[in-house]
Amino acid sequence: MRIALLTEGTHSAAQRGDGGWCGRLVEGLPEHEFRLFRLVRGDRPADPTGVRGLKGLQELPMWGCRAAGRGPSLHRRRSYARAYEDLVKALVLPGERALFGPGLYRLAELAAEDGALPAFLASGHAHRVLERVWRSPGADTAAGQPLVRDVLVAADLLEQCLRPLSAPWYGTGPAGLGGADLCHVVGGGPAALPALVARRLHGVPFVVTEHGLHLREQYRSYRTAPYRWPVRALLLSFFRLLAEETYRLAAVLTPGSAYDRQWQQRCGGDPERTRVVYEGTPAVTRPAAGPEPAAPTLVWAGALEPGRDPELMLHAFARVRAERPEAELLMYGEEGVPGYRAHCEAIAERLGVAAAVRFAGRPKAIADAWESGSAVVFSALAQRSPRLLADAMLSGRAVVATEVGVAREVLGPSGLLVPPRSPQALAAACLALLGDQERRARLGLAGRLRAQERFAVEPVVSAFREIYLELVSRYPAFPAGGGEAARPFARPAEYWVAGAVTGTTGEGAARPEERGAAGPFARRAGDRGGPVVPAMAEVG
Amino acid sequence: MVGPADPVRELIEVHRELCEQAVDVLDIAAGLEDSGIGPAGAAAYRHTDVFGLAEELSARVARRPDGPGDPDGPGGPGPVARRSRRAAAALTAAAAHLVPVAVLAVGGASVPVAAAAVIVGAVVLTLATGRPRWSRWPGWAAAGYGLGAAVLLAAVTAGSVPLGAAAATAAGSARWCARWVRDLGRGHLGAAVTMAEFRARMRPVLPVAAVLQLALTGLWTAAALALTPGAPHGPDGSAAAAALSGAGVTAWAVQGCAGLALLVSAVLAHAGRAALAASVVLLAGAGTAALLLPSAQTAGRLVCAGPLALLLPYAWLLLGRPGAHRARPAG
Repeated sequence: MRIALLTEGTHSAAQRGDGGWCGRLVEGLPEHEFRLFRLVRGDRPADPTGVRGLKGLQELPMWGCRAAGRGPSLHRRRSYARAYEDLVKALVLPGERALFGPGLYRLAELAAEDGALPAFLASGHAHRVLERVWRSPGADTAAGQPLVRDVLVAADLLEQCLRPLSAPWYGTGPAGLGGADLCHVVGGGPAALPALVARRLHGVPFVVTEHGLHLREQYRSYRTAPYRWPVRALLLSFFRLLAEETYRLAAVLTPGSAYDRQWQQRCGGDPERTRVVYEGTPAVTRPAAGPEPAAPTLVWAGALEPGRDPELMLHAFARVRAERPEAELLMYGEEGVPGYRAHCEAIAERLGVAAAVRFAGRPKAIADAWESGSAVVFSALAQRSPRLLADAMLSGRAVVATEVGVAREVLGPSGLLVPPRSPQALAAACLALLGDQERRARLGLAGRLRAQERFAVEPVVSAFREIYLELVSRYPAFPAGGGEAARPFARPAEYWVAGAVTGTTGEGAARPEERGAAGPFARRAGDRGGPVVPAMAEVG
Repeated sequence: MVGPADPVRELIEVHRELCEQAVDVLDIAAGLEDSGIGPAGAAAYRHTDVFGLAEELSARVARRPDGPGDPDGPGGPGPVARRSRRAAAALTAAAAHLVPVAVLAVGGASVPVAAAAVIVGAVVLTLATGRPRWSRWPGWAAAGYGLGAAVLLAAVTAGSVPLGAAAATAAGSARWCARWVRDLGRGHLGAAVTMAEFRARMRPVLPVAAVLQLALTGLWTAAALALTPGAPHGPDGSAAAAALSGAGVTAWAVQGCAGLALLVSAVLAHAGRAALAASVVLLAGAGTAALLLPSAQTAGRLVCAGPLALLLPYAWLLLGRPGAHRARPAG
C-alpha cells in the first residue's frame, strides 16, 4: 500500500533517536511504501528525519517569513476573498461554524489552481476582509474588540497556519497525496490540512494518530503567548474547528491514551472510529533494574517546574522522614523554569530535609535513575503523556503517582495512586511502600509486566497493519463510477497490498501493471478533470 | 463534616483569572487539568468530567478584557531613546553622504576626480545603508541606493560645492524625517482601532514630512551659500541675499528634488519597498547628471521630477496601509 505519513517537523516525538515513532512504524511495516510529508520551520534548517526505509520525503516550510510569490489576478481575487470571508466567519461568528469546511476547501482549490494563496492572505485585501467580519455584529468579542494590530497579527498567523493548503503535494502522481492509498497524520494540527484536502480532492481516507493532543497544547501555549485576547480567541477557534473537522472526517482516530480520547470525543471524534494505541517504546526490551539501594530511597524525575509539583514531593518527604529518618530522596531533572531549583532547595532547607535530598540533575541514562531508588514517585499536577510513567514501570520498581491525566489508566492496579496536592496521602503511600519489601517487589513486577504488555512496539505495528488493511477494504475501488452503491469488501484486502507479487501467483493476484491500470490510479486520474465531488460515501 | 453549599464558588475564586481570560470552555478545561483537577476532582464538584465543570465555570464567570498594558510584542524603545536614535541616524547619514562631496571639493572639479568621488561615495553609502544589522535594505538595493546617491551628490557638487554640501546634509534630514514618519506610524498602529481610523491618522503625516524636508533643504542650501567664503556681496553688503539670488532657479529646483527624492527613498525603505527606494534615488542621480550636459536639459528635468511625482503619492497611499509599518510578521 502507498501510505503518506504527514507530520509537523517540530513534533518532538517524531524527532527522537532513530526516527522516533514514525521510524518504528516504517521499519515494522516493510510491506508498505511510506512517503513522509513534513511541515518544517521556514527560518532554520530542518533536522534529518532519521526514518529509514522511506520511499520519499517532501518538506514544506511553515512558520517564519513567507516565500515571495504573486497574489491572485484581479478577477480571481474576489473568489479568494469570498472563501476567506467564509473561513473567518466560521472562526468569529458562533452561528456560522459550519462554514469552516467549505471555506477551507474552497481556498485549497483556489490555491491548487494558481498558487497565489500565501500572497493573498498577506495582502491588504485579506486584512480588510478579516477586519470587516471580525468587527461585524454578532462576532464573539466577549473580552475585547480587535484593534488594527490584532488584525495584522492574526492575519500573519492564519497565513502561516494555512500554508499547507498551497503545498505542491496534491497531484495524482506517485509522489503526490492523490496517488496514495491512505494518509496517516501523526500529530494533528496543521499537519492534518493536507490530509483533509487530499480526502476532499481525491477521496483518500486518513488516519489520525496523536500522542499528546495538538489542540490541548495550543490552549496551553497560547496562554503565555504575547497576543491580545482577540488574537488568541481567533487562532484557538481556528485550531478547535480544524480539530473538529479532522476528527469528524478521519476514518480512524488513534489517540495515545484514553485520556486523549476523552478530549477527542469532546471535539467530535466518533467513539466507533476511535481506537487507543499506546505509544510503543523500545525500552520494553530493557532488563529490569538490579537490586535496590541499601537505604530506603525515593526517586523523583521530571522537569523542575511548578506543573510537576516537586514542592509536593518535598513536603511529603518531610513527613516520610519524620517516620523513617534513614529515608533519602533523589530528584532527577533539569530546571523547567529558571531559578526553580534554588526555590526547591530553599524549601528542602526550610523543611529540614536538605541533608537527605539530592538534586541529581539529568541522569546519564533514564534507567539508572530508576535503579538508584527503592520506589519511584510522580507528584505532577498534570500527566499528559504516559511516556515517563511507562518507562518507570518498565524498571520493575514500584510506582506512586498522583491521580491526574493518564496516571490511572497507565498504572492501573500495579501502583499506588494518590490525590494531587496532598502531602499526607503521598507520604502515607510512600511509607506504605518503603515499609513493605514484599509489596514493593510485587507491585514492581506487576507494573513491569503491565507496561511490557501495553507499551511494546510490536502491538503498535500490528495495530496499524490491521487498521490500514481494514481501512482500504472499506474504501471501494470505484466510488464514483457506475452509479451503483459502493460495496464493502468488494475486493479482498490483499488486492490493495502493493507487496512483492512474484511470478507464480494464483488467480486473485494481478500483476502490478494491471493493478495499476484498474486500481486506484486509474480512478483518480479519471476523476481529476471533473468537478470536485464530496468524498465518497463511507460504507461499512 | 458538611461542605459548603456551593463548592464551585471557591474554585471560581482560585481560577478567576483563568476563567476571565479564557477564550472558550476547552481553554478552561485545559487550565483546570493543568492545576491538577481530573475526573476525580470534577466529581467532587458534582460533575461527570472536567468539561462539565469547565462549562459551569465558563457560564458563571464573565469574560473580562485584557489590561491596557497588553503588549504587541516586547515594548519598543521609549520616546527619549527614539529621539536620540533619530538624531544619531540623521548625523550618520549626513556624514556618510558628505564623503563624495568632500572628495570632489578637495580634488577639484575634473572628470577623474568626479569618477573617484562617485566610486568612493557609492562604496561608503552602500556599506552605511546595507551593512547595519537592523537595516531593511537587501544588499543589491543598498548598492543601487549608494550608486544613485553618489552620482546625485557628485553631480550637484560639480555645479557648486556649497550646494553639494547642502544636499548631503539634506540626506541626513531626510533620514530624520523618515524615521519620524515611521515612529509616528508605529505609534498610530498600536493605538488605532480600525483601519479607516489608522488611514485617517496617517493622512497628514507624509505631506507634513515633505514640507518639513523641503524647508530644511532650503535652510541648508541658504546656509551653505551664505557661509561660502568667496560669495559675492550684494549692494547692501548682505552675503545671504546675494547668495540666494546668485544660485539659479534650476539649482534651487535640483536641491528641492534631491531633498524630496532622499525623503521618499527613506520612507519607502522603511515600508519595505527597497527596490523602489533605490530606483527613485538612482533616477534622481541620473537626471541631475543629465542636467550638467547642455544637450539633455529637458530629459534631465523629466527624469529628475517624473518619478518623484509618481512615487510621492504612492508613498502617501502606502503609508495608509497598516501592513507597511511592521518590522516583521508575527509568529
